[in-house]
Amino acid sequence: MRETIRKLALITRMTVRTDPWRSLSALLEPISGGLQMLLGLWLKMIVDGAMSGNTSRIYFGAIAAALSLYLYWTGTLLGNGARIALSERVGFAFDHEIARLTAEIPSIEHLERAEYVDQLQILRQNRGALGGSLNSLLNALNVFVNSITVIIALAAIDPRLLLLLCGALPAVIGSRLRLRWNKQGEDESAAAGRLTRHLSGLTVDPVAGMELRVFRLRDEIRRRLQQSVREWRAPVIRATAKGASMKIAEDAGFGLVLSGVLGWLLVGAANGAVTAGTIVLAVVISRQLQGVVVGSVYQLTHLADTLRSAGRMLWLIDHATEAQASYAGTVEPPTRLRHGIHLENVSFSYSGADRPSLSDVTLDLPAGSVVALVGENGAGKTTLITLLAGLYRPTSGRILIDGTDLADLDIEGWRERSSAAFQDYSKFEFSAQHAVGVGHLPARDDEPAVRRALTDASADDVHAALPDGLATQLGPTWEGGVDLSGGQWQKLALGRAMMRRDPLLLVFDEPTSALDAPTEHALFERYTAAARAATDRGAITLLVTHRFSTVRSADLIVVLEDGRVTEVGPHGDLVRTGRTYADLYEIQAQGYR
Amino acid sequence: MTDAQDSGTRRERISGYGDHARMLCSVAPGWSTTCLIATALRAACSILTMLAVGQLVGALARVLVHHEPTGRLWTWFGVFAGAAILTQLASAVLSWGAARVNAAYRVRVDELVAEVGLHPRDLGRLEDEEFALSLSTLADNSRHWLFRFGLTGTWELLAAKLTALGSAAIVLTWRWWVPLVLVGCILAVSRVVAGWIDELLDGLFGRPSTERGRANYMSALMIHPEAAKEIRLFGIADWLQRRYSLLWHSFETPFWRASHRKLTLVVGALVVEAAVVGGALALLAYDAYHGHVSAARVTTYVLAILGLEAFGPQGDVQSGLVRVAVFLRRLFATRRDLGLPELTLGPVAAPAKRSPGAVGLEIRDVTFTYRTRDEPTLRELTLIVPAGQSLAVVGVNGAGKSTLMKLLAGLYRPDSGSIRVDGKDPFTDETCHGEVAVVFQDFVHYPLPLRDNVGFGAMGREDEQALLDEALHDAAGTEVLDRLEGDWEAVLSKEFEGGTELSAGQWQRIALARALASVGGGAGVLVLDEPTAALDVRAEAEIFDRFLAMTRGVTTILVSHRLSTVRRAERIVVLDGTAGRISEDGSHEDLMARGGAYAEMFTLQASRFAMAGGTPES
Repeated sequence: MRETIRKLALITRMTVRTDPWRSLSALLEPISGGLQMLLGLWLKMIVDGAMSGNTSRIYFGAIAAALSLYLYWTGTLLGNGARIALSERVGFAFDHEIARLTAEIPSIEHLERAEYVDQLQILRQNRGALGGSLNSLLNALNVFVNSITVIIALAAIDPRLLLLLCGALPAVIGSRLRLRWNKQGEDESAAAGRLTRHLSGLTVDPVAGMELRVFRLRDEIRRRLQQSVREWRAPVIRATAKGASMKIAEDAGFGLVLSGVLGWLLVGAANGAVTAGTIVLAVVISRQLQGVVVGSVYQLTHLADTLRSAGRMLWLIDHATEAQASYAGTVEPPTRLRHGIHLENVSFSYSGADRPSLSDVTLDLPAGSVVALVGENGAGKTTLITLLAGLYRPTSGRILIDGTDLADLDIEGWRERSSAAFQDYSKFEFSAQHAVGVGHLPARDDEPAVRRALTDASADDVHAALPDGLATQLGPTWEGGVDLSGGQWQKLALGRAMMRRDPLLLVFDEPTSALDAPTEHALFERYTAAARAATDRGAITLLVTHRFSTVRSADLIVVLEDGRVTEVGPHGDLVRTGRTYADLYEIQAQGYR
Repeated sequence: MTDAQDSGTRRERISGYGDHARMLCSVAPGWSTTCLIATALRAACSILTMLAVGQLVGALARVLVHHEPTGRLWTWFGVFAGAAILTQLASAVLSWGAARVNAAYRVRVDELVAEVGLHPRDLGRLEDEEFALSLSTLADNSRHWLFRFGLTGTWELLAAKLTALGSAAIVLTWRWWVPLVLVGCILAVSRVVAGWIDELLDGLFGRPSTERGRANYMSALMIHPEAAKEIRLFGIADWLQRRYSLLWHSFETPFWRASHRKLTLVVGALVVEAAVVGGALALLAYDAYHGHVSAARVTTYVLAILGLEAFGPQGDVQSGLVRVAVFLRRLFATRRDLGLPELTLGPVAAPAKRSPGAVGLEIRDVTFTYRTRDEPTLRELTLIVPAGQSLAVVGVNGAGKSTLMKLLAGLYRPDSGSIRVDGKDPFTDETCHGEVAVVFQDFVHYPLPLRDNVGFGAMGREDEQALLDEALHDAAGTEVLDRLEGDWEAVLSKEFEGGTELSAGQWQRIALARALASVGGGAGVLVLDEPTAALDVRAEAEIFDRFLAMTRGVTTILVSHRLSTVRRAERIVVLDGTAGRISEDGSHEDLMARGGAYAEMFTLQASRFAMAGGTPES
């Protein structure tokens, strides 16, 4: 119950805060729906008036009918417009909130958990539902009120009409069953639906398009798509057919009850006990009755869906609050490193993984050094640098920055003193200026700063691919946007990492995987020089790479195997000890002899 | 917002309704006919109900006032009850039949749209901004709730309109001009109202404007894992939020303002409509008072006048149907442009089996410019590769190496010059398709079983387990198979139950296996574009140790920056990015002796090892 109240409060607060006036207009639709219910009453007046020759009743009925019709149309229309606008604006407000909460969680661990990403996906897909949540709440209230009104009206006109409720009862049960069957059908077809989305995605994607054409897979994909679309629809069709057969019975039943009740009334009418107007009113109301009864089932289900979405939103809010708590450190990070970074028995396991990615790593990264991190795929290199950037928290152990636990530092402050180029760099589809400039937000519009960063990243030749210079929009789907090659995107990512002028920790994760030999060479020359220049700050440059040619010049080489540090030392020492490092080095060096 | 016109022009809509009818007939002729009959029946029953209720009232009047016998009363009651039950039955049949029709319809629409994307062989077409936009708009629209509403509501709407026509016919029998005035007025008001609603919906769900697209991009960026690390490290979440908000409001605010201005007109139009309907009812009351119209007729006329409202807009269903109609117009136009039949799928040809064997390549004076670029990427490039040779292509980033490979695979048409694979033009000659197998840098991760991920290369021989085994083994993918516990049916995506997600390095081996399988499937040329970028030292060494064995019987082209692997090729060419053509050509030894760009690059990479020293040279 408390949860439900929290959900209702969230919906109402968000909606009213976003657009108070339209929230009020959202009331128009249910109110005007109620007005339409009065139509039968005016008809009764007209008919009774015509029967008894009472003109004023006819006129009154006619005018009231026209007026309530007008109010109904206008109310529905304005309410409709307000609903669309409101759902759009509140949908935006929710989306903004979802994005904010997600992006402001300092850790990235949650984004690597499948169940979290799934929840987030569902939440975003349903933001329209969240946008219309106030309406769904009002509509549910409205059908409730309408049902009571109709029942009272039926009882007041003629208690025999209450029998109609029995006729409508199977429809209530039937509608519930149909909704359940449909839900089951949707669940059954969910996997096929996802496959269909993926396959349809392939048909319109130029990048996938290359491969489909080269391997003559277009017909094959078409066949697969046909198959998966059919599998996707089949359970839903079955559920609908089942529901429809049931509906035939319900509807025929209601028709029979209706005829019976009306026949009974007519007997009374023939005796003069019931007026003709009442007969007409009964006909009109019986039609409305069916709508109200079935509508209430749908509205309540819809409300339940909306509340589920609101529940997901609350889950996100709670999760964000909780995640923030583990980043509550407030100590101002140092402006220069005296001793360096010390890892003390650091272990890390991904949630759900059966073995740790890092186990019991103890390691010194001395201030002012260039450290190379090598190891095979899956050895834990990327995990280690992610921990250093504070993007994960160690499962156990501590990371000490000049003796202070990273967990006690103000995380924003520490990140401002770090910079990195990741292996899976982002392809920001902004202007080239911003794509690089966001590496140091205050200087994002500073053109010379961006040029300098690109030069530092040995990425000057990227300019050749930018027809409008730094103002060029990146990403081919945007108007006037250009696509870049993998190497060019990587150079921009390196430029971004070079934007911050004096980081204490500079990380390069496979920075040259897509780069050509001259660039690779120039880049290493440059940043070893830069690292040397930064020794007075005590800055640490951390390099992760498969290319051993670039490792040699590092002051310290750390070899990771299966999440453990197995070798530490300068190149010469490690080659002499003749273990894994020496092996791997030899394999590559051979290629150049 | 001017391009956001997805409710289309009036003409487009009207011919679109015709297309919709043709589609319905084509996808499920039997069920569509059933639905049509049920719809007509429902409309007829509604009209009959209006008449019956009126006659009931009339009969009742006679029974009460003139004390006539009740026979007539019961006859009309029988008609009323019959109509009521028939209406219910027709509705039930309709909901049954419509579900069938809709399912078939949506399947067909999905297939038709997918075919539009798959049909053009020319990749440039798919990359064309205009084409890509209209394709993605088609795909999005077919999944939109409004489209679904329109489709589902087709019959309901048709019944409403037929009933309205019947109501107009009934009112005609009172005063002939009344229905003309009423219907004219309702239609006019309906145009104003529908115009407003359509504009609203177009703005919201039509082709997205650039600002809207950008706003969505910002919000997606904040949520998707891809950019998560950099967003946090560089602290740009705040900035992205502000941009998202700013962009969203920049298109939303003027839009609502404009929509708000139109509202006055809409309310005015509704006042007119209510006045006209009220006038008609008042006139009816006047006629009734003077005894020109009986009570029976008054009842029927009132019901019929209220029924005329269905000529007006019918809410979401009608807005949805407009979208269905416009969608079909555009889909059919696009399909006609591509030479595809409008309503039915093009033929699916069984892939012809290829005979294996290396083939030669001839590229002569080829110049190629991307649509989005002014400068050509390749200029009068000439390269002749005899069958069975292993060739490596090197060059700086952006020199056009990948472009050259795409041209060889027949994905683009060169501006000038000729490309021949086994003497045939890969762009135009169908018999040439499948001759060139490529591992692209952006290969596809199919969320399908391992068998398909490898077998998709095999072009007709995917049933031969030995071929797949060998391909995976040669691609150093045995480890991947072990991880999947030897299960070739394991789905390679965590999104599916029991599925497994692979690492980047593992995926790369799968992509390589796919290309190797295609050699077994008859490809004569194997192109490897940075095939080991995501692999570690040992895996890379493992693959290249088998390089010669796995490239036997096929012409191989290797594109790589890792010169230690490149040197294993028989012949190496250097692609000069500035000139757009081949600048050096020869074996590793030749090029080293020449002392050109290649020698310089190789020495550069090698020097880092030499400098390293430490290792005894012996």
